[in-house]
Amino acid sequence: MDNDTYKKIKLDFQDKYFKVIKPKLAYYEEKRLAGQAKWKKQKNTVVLIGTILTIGAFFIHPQLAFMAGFMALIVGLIIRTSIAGKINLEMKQDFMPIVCECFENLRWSNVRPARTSEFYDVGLVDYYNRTSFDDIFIGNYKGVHFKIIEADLKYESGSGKNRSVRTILYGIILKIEANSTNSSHTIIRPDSLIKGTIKNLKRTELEDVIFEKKFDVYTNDEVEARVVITAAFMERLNNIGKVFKAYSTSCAFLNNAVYVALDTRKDMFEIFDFNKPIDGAEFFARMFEELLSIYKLIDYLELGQKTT
Amino acid sequence: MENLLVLIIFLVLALIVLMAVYGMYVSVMKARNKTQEAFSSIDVQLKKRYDLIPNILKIAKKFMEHERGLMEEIVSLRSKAMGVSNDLSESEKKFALDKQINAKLGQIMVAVENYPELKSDQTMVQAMNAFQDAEEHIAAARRFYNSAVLELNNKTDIFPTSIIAAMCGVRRQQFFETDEVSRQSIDASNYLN
Repeated sequence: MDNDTYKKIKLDFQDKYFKVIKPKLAYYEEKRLAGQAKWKKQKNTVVLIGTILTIGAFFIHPQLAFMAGFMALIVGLIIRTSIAGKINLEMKQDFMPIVCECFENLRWSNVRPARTSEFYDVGLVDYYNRTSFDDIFIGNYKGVHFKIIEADLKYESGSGKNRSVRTILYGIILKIEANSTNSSHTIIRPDSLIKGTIKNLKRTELEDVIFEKKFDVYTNDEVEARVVITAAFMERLNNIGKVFKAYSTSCAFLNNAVYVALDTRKDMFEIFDFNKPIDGAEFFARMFEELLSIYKLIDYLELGQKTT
Repeated sequence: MENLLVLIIFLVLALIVLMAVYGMYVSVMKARNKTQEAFSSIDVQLKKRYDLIPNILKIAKKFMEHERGLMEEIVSLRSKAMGVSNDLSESEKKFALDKQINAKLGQIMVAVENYPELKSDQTMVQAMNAFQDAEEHIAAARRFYNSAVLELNNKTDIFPTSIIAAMCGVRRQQFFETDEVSRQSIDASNYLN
């Protein structure tokens, strides 16, 4: 996209915001306040019941008291999340299609992907066994089909006292069906001390010294890997992590698909905060810029083009 | 007792030295084999390009009668290049022939500029796109080869692996360099727009 197109999209968004979105915000603000009132009532009930149970349990066993208190906290959080979540979902279902109209061939979805293990199968990220997906955008840009998936992937191990949960990725995954004729399986992962094989792919070293310090490359075809990972691509991949302030960046090429994972460790594309008034353009402007930055990422990495 | 201790220490030291030497031998052989693998991959890509040349020349011949001499030179060079084996010892000869073919093809591409009908011919466009794809793969294979050669040359030049390499007859190899003409890559889009 050239700068004129970006400007045109921004102007279109501003127009839609003031004409379509802003008039509806008052309704959602009322809902938010009603939700806050409902939560306050229910919170008091939960606190009361929780206190009674905790004191009662204390006389049976101190550990039971701790568990009762903890359970009351969990119940409270569930109730709050449920109230806030309903309003959030309603807002997204109402406003996201409007925002997507600013872009050609883009639609929003919150339907969980059919194949949740896909990102581990292609070697993009380490193994995970707990998944949560938020916003998903599906579109077509410069003749190339793409998906933006906001994902929270975790690995849970052990149980009881030994239970541990490790975050594998909390950020966005961009999947593009590229126009390339790549026939290899190539993975680019953040640099690690343990250099072995991943998905039976051999590690290879490329010429860019800075790239080699930051990333490890695994492939089943040394030549095809170098066709897709050109000097220009290496430099760009180096930079996007900084631009998105990503904790880590990884990339995978498999047949015609290109995957880019940005571990941003933040909730993106959000237009609602239960604790903040819905009266300003702040959320929408930020969400829109985040969406626009993904298009800029596709342009910057030249992912839709034949990779040279 | 003392003699036994000395003997044991000597044996342990000898074992360590042997293991170190074996480790260096393995690394030299691995570097050599990787270079051979990389050279073979260049060979595969060059052959793909050479296979495309007759088709391109056949289409071009219909329009470029005056360049017949140049085309015949390319055909002759191509035959010579196809005849070179894919052994590492022939790398210098192979690269030299490829440089000549590249230079002649560059002249053909410049000549194509003077034939608008040829530039817009669909079969020519398809052939040039395939050729461009082959060029990209050759560039990638070249990077792989040069990376392998760098590793091998480090082994052959730097002590102590240089001793092992010399003993095993492993010699330093030449990089696959491009000359100035080839560096101006043959980009089909420059000629077909």
